[in-house]
Amino acid sequence: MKLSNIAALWWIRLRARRGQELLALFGIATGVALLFAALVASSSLTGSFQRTTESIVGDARFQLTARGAAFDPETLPGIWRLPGVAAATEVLEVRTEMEGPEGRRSVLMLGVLPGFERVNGTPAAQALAGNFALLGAMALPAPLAHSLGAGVEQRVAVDVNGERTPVRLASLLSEQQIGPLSASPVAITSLPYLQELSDQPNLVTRILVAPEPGREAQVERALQRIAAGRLEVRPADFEVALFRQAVEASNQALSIFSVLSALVGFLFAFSAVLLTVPARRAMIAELLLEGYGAATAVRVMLFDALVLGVAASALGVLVGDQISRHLFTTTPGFLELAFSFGTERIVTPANLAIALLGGVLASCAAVLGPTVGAIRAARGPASGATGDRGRRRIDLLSLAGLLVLAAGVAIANAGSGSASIGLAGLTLLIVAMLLLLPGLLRILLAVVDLLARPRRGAVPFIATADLRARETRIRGVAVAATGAIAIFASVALQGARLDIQRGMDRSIQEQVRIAPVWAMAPGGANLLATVPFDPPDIAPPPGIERLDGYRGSFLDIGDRRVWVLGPPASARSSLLGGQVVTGDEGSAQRRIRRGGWTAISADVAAELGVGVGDRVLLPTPVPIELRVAALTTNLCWPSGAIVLNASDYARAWGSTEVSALIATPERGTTPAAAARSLRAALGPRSGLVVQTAAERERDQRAASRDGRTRLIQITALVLLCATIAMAAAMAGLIWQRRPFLASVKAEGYSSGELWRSLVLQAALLVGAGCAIGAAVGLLGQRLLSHALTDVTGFPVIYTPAWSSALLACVAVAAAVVTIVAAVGYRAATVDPESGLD
Amino acid sequence: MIELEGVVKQFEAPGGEIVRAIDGVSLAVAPGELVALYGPSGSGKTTLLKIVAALLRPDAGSVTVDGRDVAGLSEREAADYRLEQVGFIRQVPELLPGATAIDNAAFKLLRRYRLPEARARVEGQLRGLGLGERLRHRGNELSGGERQRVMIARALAIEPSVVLADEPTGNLDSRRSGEVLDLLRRLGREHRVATILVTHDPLAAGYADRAYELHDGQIRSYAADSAQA
Repeated sequence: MKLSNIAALWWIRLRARRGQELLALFGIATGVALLFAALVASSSLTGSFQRTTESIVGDARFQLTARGAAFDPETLPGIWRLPGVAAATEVLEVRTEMEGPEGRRSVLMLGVLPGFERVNGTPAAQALAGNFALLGAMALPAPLAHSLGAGVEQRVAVDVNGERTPVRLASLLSEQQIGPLSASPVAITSLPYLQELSDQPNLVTRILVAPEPGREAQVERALQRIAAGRLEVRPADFEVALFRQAVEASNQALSIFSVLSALVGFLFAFSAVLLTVPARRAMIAELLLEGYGAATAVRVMLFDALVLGVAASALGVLVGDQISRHLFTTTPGFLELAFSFGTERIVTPANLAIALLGGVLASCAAVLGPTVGAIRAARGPASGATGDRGRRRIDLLSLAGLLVLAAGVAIANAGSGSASIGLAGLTLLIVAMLLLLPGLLRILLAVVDLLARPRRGAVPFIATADLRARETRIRGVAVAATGAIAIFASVALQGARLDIQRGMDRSIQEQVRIAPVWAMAPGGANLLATVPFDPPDIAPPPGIERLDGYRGSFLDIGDRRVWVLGPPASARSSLLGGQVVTGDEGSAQRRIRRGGWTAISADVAAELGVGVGDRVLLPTPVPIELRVAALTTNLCWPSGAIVLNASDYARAWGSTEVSALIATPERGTTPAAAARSLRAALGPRSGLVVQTAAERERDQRAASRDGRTRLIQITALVLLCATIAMAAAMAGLIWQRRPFLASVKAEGYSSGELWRSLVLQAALLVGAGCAIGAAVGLLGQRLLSHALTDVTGFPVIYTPAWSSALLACVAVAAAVVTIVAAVGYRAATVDPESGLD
Repeated sequence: MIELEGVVKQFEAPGGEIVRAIDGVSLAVAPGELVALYGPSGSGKTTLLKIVAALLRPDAGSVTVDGRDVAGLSEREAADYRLEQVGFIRQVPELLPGATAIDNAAFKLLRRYRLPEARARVEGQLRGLGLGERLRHRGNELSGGERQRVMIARALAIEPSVVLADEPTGNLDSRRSGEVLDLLRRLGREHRVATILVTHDPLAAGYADRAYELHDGQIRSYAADSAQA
């Protein structure tokens, strides 16, 4: 048959089954939309950071960093003299908090020198070049200035080094001028001015070096010679590698969501396409009867699938694009503490290709699967499983399901050890769930029969007899499977999220409660107290027994940006409570207080190849060797953490700077009163914010929850889509069964009896799907929580999410049964007269 | 006893034209009697059955079953009447494919009896119909003839006043058709049921106690020769 004829045939048939095809289109589009939105969210996070970094480093291929952030004044001229160097420049980056008339933002201030545009030949740098003379002023991307409510020539309060300074906004930088940087929280100023603001005249964070084309290797060797072990030579975009490592856990969670979203979408599509099977089966029978071969039938169906898949995928991408713009916009808050990145949404060709290909493949599988059965059916006597054969098949499926489930449970209990084993474990659980579903439905139907035996009435009989019919059963299992996967995804992911949240809450509590009152630089970017400042020269004010310096920062070890915590020896409790995974918590705490010892996150220790009792040389500004007292969780920081004594910290950084002042109130003074007293002592010009431990804990908890908002959104969307999918599939199924309903009514049964049997059917299918989804989802939660601990080192406190499971089941079941009840009511009023036609 | 007197049923055709599907039909069928209505497609046979089943209301005339006016029943009363007094046998046996033969036969008894009791009431009938070995087989595991016998068992299970058979042999070969028709006649007599058989098969009409030809909605005496011609 010619392609034009196939197309004409498709068009004629489409007009007769618009509703069913629309439902299938909607199903596939939903899956594609979820998949695409999750992919874009994931790529935007890393992509946005990468573009911001590239906008800053431009043509530079290398960067030199000084461990103490202090370069020899001869370093830059020396680099310029190297053969093969096209350009080099010093850069200072300082994390600040800015406050304008209409808002506050954490902003990375970038101090650059004239000549920066020679390193960075992009239009962005050309635009920046005009601001090099900004002594006493800065330039901001227009969107950032807008969010602060600041205009040109207005002053913006900048908190840096524990001081608040009003800085003049000299110019606004548009997207045309600075490209992707315009979406980033970055301020541009001159290097000397930023050094003055920081109160460190010679401070430079890195030197960017652009080699001449083809001379990269030569320049790198020469830079290594200049570095001579005192400096680090790294790729100019090294931060991207650090960011990728930090965002890995978040991306893994998103990947799992993407896979589950795609599965729900596929099952939705499959359920929807099943509604079109009778019409397609009739078409195939007609084609074979008229002498066309099976190959033609397959081509006709493949054309159906391709048209459906392409149209649905295109629609799905459009909807997914809107979801990614309006729903998945929150960035994981905790990453902002160590990295500056924008809110740019990045759609890569790979995102598009995966989503479109996924949609078309789902459509082909959903259409062509039943086609094979239809061709077999049209060629000979019914080959479907009937009677004992069908029951045996369900028994075999159940047996296989139990075996697969056992494998999944074994992984869940043993711990995954790697992300891929964790994902394999999740896949096993999903497969087991789908294999067990037909058997579970059979048991449920038997239970209904048993309960109905002592009662009169046809309602349960009609419901169960109809669900036992092969065609209804296949569609019913598809409906139940959709619910099962959605509930599984919801329970496993929500449960794991709650587990990690509990672990984080506890860790935050332990970290914050080492002191009742904290004074530190303000802002969301300093939640972990990592911004250094010179400690003010004040005596403990009234009500405060003592003031100590707490030290903290980030340290790059390998491709990790590790969080370093340096509590003073006087801290009233250990911040290791419940976080030690190897070693003894009490002795580790005593040793760290005494000095010369450290506690390291297990994953960082593994990367460094050290264990408890070993010596480890930390690449701090003044390298320091400490002994490992204990291995810990990552203390909620994805890249891991290191805890050492504040005095050891001061030696290692060769600095007297602190990142927080912690106050011990006198006996009888409340933390709130002590905080007021400290605030008064610091004075109104201080750029420090004073908080009680409870206030700090509240802020940190809120930030840690922000980071997981997207997971909640995706879970809700998966549940919503599954609900729509199940309701639509059930409604379609009921609507197609109206001739059957009419025949039962013709026999004398009432609309009410039919309606109740339809509602019971829906409740059985949705109930079976939700029940098995919730039960296996709880195992999935265990597996995911183990994986999070094993793979990312997060402090996870596992507690089965019974209430989440119950809530998800009740919400989905109630929504689906309500929708089906409404459609079923309409269907049950079918005219019985047509039952005799 | 079924009694129709001057029954008229008309429909509006798509072009707006009024068509008399049943045009003044009068007919009486006594208990135990099998009356065949022979006629081509569109002659009004099924419409007449629907009127007797209270699925359609006549525009004129009266329909009584055992002296009860079924034309004036409410929707609910009509449903109860069909469930308790009317047995149906159709060209395509509408069995519940997921239910066993015995459960399908017991289907109309479920409002009155618990399932085990309903099964007990139909088991003997099914055995009598030669389905003793097929009681636990599902609807989709039965042959066409077996399904039709299950429908007969279902129709008779309620001890009906009326059995309405609409082309019951339309999908069966001549041997199976003969068996089914013979059963209908025999069981109708045994159970004293007034049976109307609608068919366009002249052989089927031969099994009836009386046969009529329905043409353009009007009834007239059946002439086997003219039918076969």
